[in-house]
Amino acid sequence: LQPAATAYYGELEEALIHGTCTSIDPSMIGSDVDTECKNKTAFSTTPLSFNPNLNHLREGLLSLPPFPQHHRERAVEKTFNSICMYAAAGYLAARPPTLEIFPSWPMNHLQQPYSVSTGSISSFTGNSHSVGSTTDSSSGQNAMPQAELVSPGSMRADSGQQQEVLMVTVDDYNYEEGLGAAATTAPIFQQHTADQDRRKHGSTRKEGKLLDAKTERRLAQNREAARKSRLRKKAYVQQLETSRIRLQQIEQELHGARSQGLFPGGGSASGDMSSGAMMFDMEYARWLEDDSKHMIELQGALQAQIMDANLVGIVEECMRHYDELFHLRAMLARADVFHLMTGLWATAAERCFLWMGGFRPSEIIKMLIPQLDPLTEQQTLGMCNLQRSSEQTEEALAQGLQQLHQSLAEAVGTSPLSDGANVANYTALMALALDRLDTLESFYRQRVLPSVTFPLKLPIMQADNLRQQTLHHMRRLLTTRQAARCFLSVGEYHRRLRALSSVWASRPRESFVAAAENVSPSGTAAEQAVHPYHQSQFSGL
Amino acid sequence: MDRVTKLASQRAVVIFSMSSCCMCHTVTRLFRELGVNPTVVELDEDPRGKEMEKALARLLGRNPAVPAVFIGGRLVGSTDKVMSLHLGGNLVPQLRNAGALWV
Repeated sequence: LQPAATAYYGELEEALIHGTCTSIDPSMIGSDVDTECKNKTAFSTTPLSFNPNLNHLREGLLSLPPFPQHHRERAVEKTFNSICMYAAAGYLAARPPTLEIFPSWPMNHLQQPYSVSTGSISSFTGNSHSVGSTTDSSSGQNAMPQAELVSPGSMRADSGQQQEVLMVTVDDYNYEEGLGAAATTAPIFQQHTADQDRRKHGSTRKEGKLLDAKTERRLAQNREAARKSRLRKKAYVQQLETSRIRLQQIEQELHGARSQGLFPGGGSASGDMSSGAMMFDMEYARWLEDDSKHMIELQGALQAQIMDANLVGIVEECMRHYDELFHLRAMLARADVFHLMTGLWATAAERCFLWMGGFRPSEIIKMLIPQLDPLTEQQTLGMCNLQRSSEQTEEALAQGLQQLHQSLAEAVGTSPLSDGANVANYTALMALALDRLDTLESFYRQRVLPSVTFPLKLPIMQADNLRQQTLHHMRRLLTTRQAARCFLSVGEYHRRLRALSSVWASRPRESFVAAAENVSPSGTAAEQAVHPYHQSQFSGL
Repeated sequence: MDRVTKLASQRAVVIFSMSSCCMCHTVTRLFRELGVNPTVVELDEDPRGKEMEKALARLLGRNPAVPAVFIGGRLVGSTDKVMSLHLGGNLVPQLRNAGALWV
C-alpha cells in the first residue's frame, strides 16, 4: 500500500485528469485567440510546409505583427487557421506516444467538403472552409468534433494570401463543455467566413459551383466547429504539457525527500485500502514532515547550546507531537487494526523491525542509555528499571496477543456448524457453503470474525499505551538536554530506517539466482546497517 | 458485590478475569513474570459471574469489567493502571507491601 504518496499521487492524477479535461481556462483560450488575431497576413507569403518543429512555429508566430480584427480578408482568416493548425499539429507531433490521437499524414487530394474520417486528408487550394465537423458547433456537445488532416498542397502565388491548411483529425477525443469560451470567438470568424464567402472573386470552389445559402451556412458552421476544436485542442495540449512538467518536478521533490528518509515510501495499490487507512497514511505523512522540522529545531538548539529554559519548550513540543501520533494510531486501531498491525503505513525496513505495530520500547531504551552519557546513578537506575519493566510488559502483551491468535485460528479452522452427531447435515451444509463462497464468507463474517478481530485492537492499543507511557516516564527521569537528545536519537533512528528502505528499493536489480547466491555471507543488509546504531554517536549529541 | 469483596480479600493478588479475554491473560502473565502467584477468578466459569461482572463494571466505571486487579484487598484497576504502576516502578513495592512478593 502506498501511504500518503499514493493517496497524494492518486489525488494529483485525478486533479490532472480533471484539470486538463474540464478546466481549460477560457481566458487562456481567449488570450491565445487574441494573440493570433493580432498576426497579420504578412505571414501568408511563406509556404507552410509541414514542419513538426514547434519552436520554429513559435518563433514564426511571435515574429508576426498584430492582427487587426477588422480585417476580413479570407486569407487572413486562413492564415489564422493555419496558425491554429500548425500550433496544434506542432504540439501534437512533438508528443509521440501519449497523444496517439493524431494519425500520420496521408496525402489525399479532395476538393469537396466531406465528412470527416480519421486519416483522410484533403488539400486546400485557397479554401478556407474547415469541413471538420458534421456535428453541431454548439458547445453543448461532449463528443469531439473532428477536423481533417490536410496535406500541404500547392500554394497560390497570385493572391499571395492563400495558404494551404493543415488540419488534424482527432477521433474519440472528449472535451468538456467549459470550453465555451471558444464560442465567444466564433462570431468573429463566422463573420469573416460569411464575408469571405460572399466575396468570392470567382475563385474556384467546389468544382466551380456557387453554393446556396443553406450549404454556405452549414459549411460555415463546420468551419467554426473545426476552429473551435482546434483551439480547444491547443489549450488542452498546453495544459497537459504544463502539468507534465509540474508532475516531474513533484516526483523529483518526493524522491529527494524519500531518499533522505523524511517520508515513508513503498506500499501497495491504493485500491485495497480502507478509508481509515488512507486517512491515517496522509496524516502520518504530515506528522513525519513536522517531525523532521522538530528534529532540525532540536539539533539547532543543542548545537547552539541554548538555555535550558528555551529548550524545554521544544522538548515539550516533541512530546506533544508524539502524543498526537499515538492519538492517530488509536483512531486507526479502531478503524482498521490490520493496517496498523501489519505496518503497511511504514517503509520496508521499518516493517522488518515492527513489534506489535510499532517500535519496541525496551529496544529504544537500550539504544538510548549509552548515548545519554553522563547519567547520574539515580538516572541510570531509573532507566534500567524502566527498560526491565517495559520488557516484562512487552512479554505479557505478546502473550496476550498470542492467545488471541490461537482463538482466532480455532474459530476459523473449526466450523461453528460442527456438531459431532450430525455429520451428514454438516457435510451438506459445508458443501453448499463452499459452493457459494460468498455465503461462506458472510457466514464467517457474521459469526466468527467480529468476535475475534474486535479484541485484536486491545493488545495493539495497549502496546501503544506502553510506548507512550515509556516516553513520558523517560522524560521525567531525564534532564531537558538529555530528553532533547533522546527525541533526536529516536527520530534519527527511524529516519535512517526509512532512508534504508528507499535505498534498498532503488538498488540495481540483479537476477533472482545471482541475488539468492549472494544472500548467505552478509546476512540482511538492514540488520547490518541497524546494529551500528547501538554504538554510534549521533551527530549533535 | 459482596462476593467480589470477599474473594478479593482472600489473597494478596486477585485478578477477576474471563477465559476469552486476552487482556486478562496479559495481566495474569505479567504478575507471573514478576514472581507473583495471583488468584484468578474466571467470571464466565462462576455461577454468579454475571452479577460480579456488573458489580466490577460499576466499580471500575467502565466496560469491559475485566481484568480487574486487587492487591491486598484493594482495587488497583485494569490493564492501563497496572501498566502505569509498573512502568513507574510502583507496582513491585505495592506487591511487597501486600506480601505477594518476598524477593
